[in-house]
Formats: sequence, structure tokens, C-alpha cells
Amino acid sequence: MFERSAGPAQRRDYLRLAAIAGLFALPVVMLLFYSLSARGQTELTLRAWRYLFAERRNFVTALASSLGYGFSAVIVAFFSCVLPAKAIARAHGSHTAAIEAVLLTPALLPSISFAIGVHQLFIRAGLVDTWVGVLLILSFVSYPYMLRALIASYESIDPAYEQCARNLGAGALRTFLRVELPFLLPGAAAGGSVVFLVAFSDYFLVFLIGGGIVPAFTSYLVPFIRSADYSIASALSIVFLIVPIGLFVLQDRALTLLLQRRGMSI
Amino acid sequence: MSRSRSIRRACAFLPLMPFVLFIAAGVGYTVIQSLGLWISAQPGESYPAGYAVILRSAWFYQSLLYSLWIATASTLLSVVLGTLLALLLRGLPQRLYPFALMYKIPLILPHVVIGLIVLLGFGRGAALGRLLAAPGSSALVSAYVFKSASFVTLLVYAVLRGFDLRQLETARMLGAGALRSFRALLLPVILPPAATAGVIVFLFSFGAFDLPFLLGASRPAMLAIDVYNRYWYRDLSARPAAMASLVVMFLFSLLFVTVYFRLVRRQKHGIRHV
Repeated sequence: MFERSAGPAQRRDYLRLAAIAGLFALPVVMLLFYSLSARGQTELTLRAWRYLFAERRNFVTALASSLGYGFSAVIVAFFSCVLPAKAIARAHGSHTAAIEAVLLTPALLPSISFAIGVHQLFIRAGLVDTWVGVLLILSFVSYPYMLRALIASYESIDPAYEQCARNLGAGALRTFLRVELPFLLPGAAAGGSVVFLVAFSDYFLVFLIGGGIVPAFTSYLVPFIRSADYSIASALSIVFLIVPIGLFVLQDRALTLLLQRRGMSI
Repeated sequence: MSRSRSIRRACAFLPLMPFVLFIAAGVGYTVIQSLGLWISAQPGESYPAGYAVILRSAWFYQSLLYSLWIATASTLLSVVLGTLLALLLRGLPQRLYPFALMYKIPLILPHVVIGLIVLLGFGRGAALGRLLAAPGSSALVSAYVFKSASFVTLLVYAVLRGFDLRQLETARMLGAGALRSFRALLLPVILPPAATAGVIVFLFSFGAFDLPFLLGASRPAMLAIDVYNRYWYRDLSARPAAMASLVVMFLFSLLFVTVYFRLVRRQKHGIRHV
């Protein structure tokens, strides 16, 4: 009803698109160019990419570790947010609005405002410099995105579905798996993408709690930027862009296939 | 019956309790150390509270004002540019829209990569780039705007998608000028998502660590950097003051978080971030 014009694009439209490309694609082209250049020279070289290949063990360890805590943060967020999200979505009242606001706040606060205190606690708990500690602190700041997405999903599910399944004799777990979960998946995928990005891209918290001992892609990249080795930093940044995009495409395909098989459209 | 139900409802929140408790304990620890307690492992050793120190020192006001200024500038620029970009996207024909999705690139890029892009963009070659980025402010604001404008676009475009462009045509036919039809038709649609996005951008650029760590100047420094340096690279007696500034930062942020939830509640079914 409100659709944009389906007619042929005019020259003005191409100019607009070129402006967007200049703003957002140009920096990526610039990264690509710098990854192929050496300091103070104009000709192209594969030095940065060769270096990464030679250093592939450290590089792959860092990437795998970041992917590991990124995915784990998504799983932790999903399991810890399902029940609270349902409780908030099903109870319409001002007191739940306050609870919701409190639970969402950690994503909005500057993380340093509580992270240094948490670091001190983690020292006592022996969680500093450990992978679990990093996963925990990243979960603190990223679960609200999953919570919000699941609340929105639960708000769109008619409670009658659940009642119907229960009346037909399905238990709580079965009702959740067969009736609610398919409705939750698109929201969980959207929320999970943000949780993943927040955890995967964080530098400060991983550096604070991981103490340089827990390998991380950001901790691998930053020293190259600080020492102005821009060609290697650019090559790493390109990997940083490709990995999440690839994951999003995969996730989108998988979700579409899964829901199609169940006869649902998204 | 109703009591057991409310107990069950409360139990639903148990999985999130560890997170909330840890964060609350982190804030609690910050407050305790800001009062000069629990600083050293030696029992009996105590330090004066940090609040008197920061209230009397110039660096604290400088850092706080500087952080507020950077956050304000980044927010205003991001909201204006992001909204313009959303309007531009709305006007694109269907066929070109998929290409325009590249505006989401900065949303995917980590802040440290945004920092690198700004360093590269601010000058050819490392030396000049450093020289230009040295004052910090302009590099920092550009980085925040590059990252956040896309975010504003995302939220504003989501509501603009439901806006019937023919309304503008009708207004023009009825004799309204461009400014009048913008104010009467577009502004009421754009303002709510732009405001919530703006609060988030402000909160983020006010207290984040990654970008000022790469781009910022050391004097005046962003509050997060100043606190970090005072906490780790001075002796223990500097810690109460560092923690006291964190408490002030926390309270400022809490104020803006409250504003955010006020705005969000008013637009119950609007598009939101969290």
C-alpha cells in the first residue's frame, strides 16, 4: 500500500545511491587498498596477507576464541532469557515495565561504570584471565538484546496456542519445543545476531577480564593499529567484516529452510 | 492460588538473577572503593574518600565536560545525518534498495575497526594521520558519527517505511510549502525514533572505552580513559578518586537511561533498540 515507486530508476536515484556508496563502501575499499600496500610505498604488495598466512596459528586461535565466546554468549543469553521474557510478555502491568527496564539497563550503561568493580570481584572468584570470565562479562552486557527480542516474540504469540497444546495433553517442555519455539526462532535469530556482534566485537571487556591471556580477535588486531602497521590491521579488519556477514547469510538461509519445512513463512 | 502463582512468576526471573547480582555487586564495589574502603588487601589500611578529591581537582571537571561535549556533538551530528540518510533511502525506488543496504556496514564493524578507518581516512600514511588525529576531538566525533548515523538510520527508516509518500504530494497540492509539509507530516513520524536513537548514541559516546583508547587525546581525556589510567597506572591512593568519577559517570548514565525508558514507554509499539 505504501510501496515505493516500482518504476525505472532515474538518474537522480543513481546519484543518491552513489552518495551512499561513497559513505559506506568507500571505507571498505580503503581497507582493501591499505591491506595491499606497504608502508611508504605506492605499488601493491601481498605482504600483509602473507604475514597473516605465516602467522595463521595465532590468527586462527584468536578468531576461533572470539567466535567461541560470541556463540556461547548467544546460547547463554537464549537460555537465561526465555523464561523471564515470557513472564514479562504475559504480565501486562506497570510493575513488570519497571522490571523490564531494570533488566534491559546493562546494555545501555557504559560498561566501564560497572566492569572495573566486576573485575575486582572476578579476581576474588578466580575468574580473571579465564575464558569463562570473559564469557560471563560479555553475557552481562549482551543478554538484554536477546531479552528484548524474545519479549517482542512472546507478545506476538497468542496464549491460546499454549492452552490448546496443554489441553491436548502436551507437557510444558513439549509445548515449548513444538509450539512456542518455532514462533520464537526469528526473534531469537535477530536478537542473537546483536548479542553475537556485541560479544565478538568487544575490545575493552575482553582485554580487562581476559588480561591478554584469553585469545581474542580484537586483542590481536589492536596492537597493529597502535603500532601504525595499517596494512596488517586493514587485512585483519576485512576478515572482521567478512566473518559476521558470512554468518548472517548462513543463518538467514538456515532459518528460512527450517521454517519452510514446518510450513511457516517469515 | 494467587500467591503460588506470583511465586512461580518470580521464579521465572531466576535465570537472569546471577547477571543482575554480579552487575549490582560490581557497582556496589565501585561505590565502596570510591569511599576509600576495601582498597588494599592489608586490613586496617584505609584511604580518604575520593569525592572530595575529584570535586577539588581540575582534571575531573575537564574530563566530564569534555565527555559531555563529545557525546553531544556526536549525537546531534548522528541524528541529523542518520535522519537525512533514512529520508534518502525512503525515496529510492524498489529496484535500487537492496544496494543501499550497505548503509548497515558500520553496524557490523567493531569499534576498533571504525577507529582504524578514521585513522586511515584522516590522512595518507601513518605520520600525517597521527598528526591530524592528534587533537582527538574531530577524529573521535567522526568515528562516533560514522558508527552511529547508520544506527539512527535503521530506527528512523523502520518507521518511515510505513509512511505513505502520497501524503506529501497531497500536502503540496493543497498548497503547503516544503518546510510546512515537513513539519506537519514528516517530523511527527521521525521525531520519536530519532529521539530514542539519540539517547542511545549519547550514552554510548559518553562512556565507551574502545574508540577514545585508539583515537583520543590524553588531555583533556574522555572520562572512561582518565578513570582507567588513574585506576591502573597510579598507586592505590589514586583509586578512590577514580572510582568516585565512575560513580558520577554511572549516575549521569542512569539519568539518560531513565530518559530512554520514558521515551520508549510513550511510544509503546514503536521501533526500539532494547
